[in-house]
Amino acid sequence: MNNTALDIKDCMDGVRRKDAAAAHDLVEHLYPLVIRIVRSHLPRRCGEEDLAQEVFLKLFSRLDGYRERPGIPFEHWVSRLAVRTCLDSLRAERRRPELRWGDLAEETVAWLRYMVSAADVTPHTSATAARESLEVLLRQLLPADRLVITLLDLEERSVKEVSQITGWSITLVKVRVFRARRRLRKIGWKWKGEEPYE
Amino acid sequence: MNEFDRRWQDCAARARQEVAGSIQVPVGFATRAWAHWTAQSKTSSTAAWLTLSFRALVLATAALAVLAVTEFHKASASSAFAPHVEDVVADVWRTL
Repeated sequence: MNNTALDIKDCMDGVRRKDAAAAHDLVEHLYPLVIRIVRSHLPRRCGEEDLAQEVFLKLFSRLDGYRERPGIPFEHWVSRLAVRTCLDSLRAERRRPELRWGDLAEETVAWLRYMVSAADVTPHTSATAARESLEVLLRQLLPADRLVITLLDLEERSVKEVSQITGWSITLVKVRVFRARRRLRKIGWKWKGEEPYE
Repeated sequence: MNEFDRRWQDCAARARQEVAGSIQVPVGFATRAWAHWTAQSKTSSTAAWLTLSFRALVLATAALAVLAVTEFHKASASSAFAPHVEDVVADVWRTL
C-alpha cells in the first residue's frame, strides 16, 4: 500500500516535470477507476474513451493545484474530478431524449412495464436489460438528479460519500435525492398513461 | 416506501448484478492522452503570448493617442496656428 502511494507520488512529480513515462504509469494506474465512473455517468452521445481522456487532460492540467491531505487518498481527488467532468458533460448534452416505447428492446420494456404497472411478477431478464431500463428513466432527469440517483442506487454509496464526491453538502444531497425520486415517480406515472400494452 | 420506488429498487438490485468486464487500458490511450495534453498546453502558451502581444499593442496605441492629443493642444496653444479656431468661429457668428 505504501509502495503504491509512493509510486503515485513519484508519478505525480514526474508529470509535473513533463515526464511522459510517469504520465503513462499514472494513466495506467488510474484508468480502471476513471472508466468505471465514466461508464456510470456517460451522456448518450459521448464515447467513454473520449470522456475518460477529458478526465485525464483535466487531471494533468490541475495536478499542480493538488494538495495532499492526510487520510484522503489521491484516488479520491481523481474520483471527484471524474464525477465533475461527467456532470459537466451531462449538462452540456442539454436536450433529454423523448421516450418511445417502440425504440426499446423487449427486455428493457419488460422492466419499464413492471415499474409502472400493477403486475407483481419481477421480469426474468439479464442484468444488462435492467440497467438499460434504469438508464432510459435516468436520461429523463436533470444531470444533477441523475448523478445523485446513480451514485446512491446503482453504486450503493452513502449520502456522506456522495457529498464528498460531488462537493455538495449532506443536506443538499438529501434534498436533491428527494426531488429526483419525486421526478422519477412523475415520469413513471406519465408513462403509465402512455404505455401501449395495458 | 412508494410502490414505484420499491419496483425501482428491484430493478436497481438486478442491474447491480451486471458483471463488469475486465478493464484494460486501450492500446495507446495513455500516449494519446499525454500527447493531447502536451499539444494543448503548447497551444495555450502560444495563445497566452498572442494575448500579451495584443495587450501590448493596445497599450502602445493608447499611449500614442494620448501623446498626439497632448502635442496637438500644445501646438494649438502656440502662435503658430493663429488666428485661433475659436476666433474664426466667433467672427463668423458675429458676421451672421
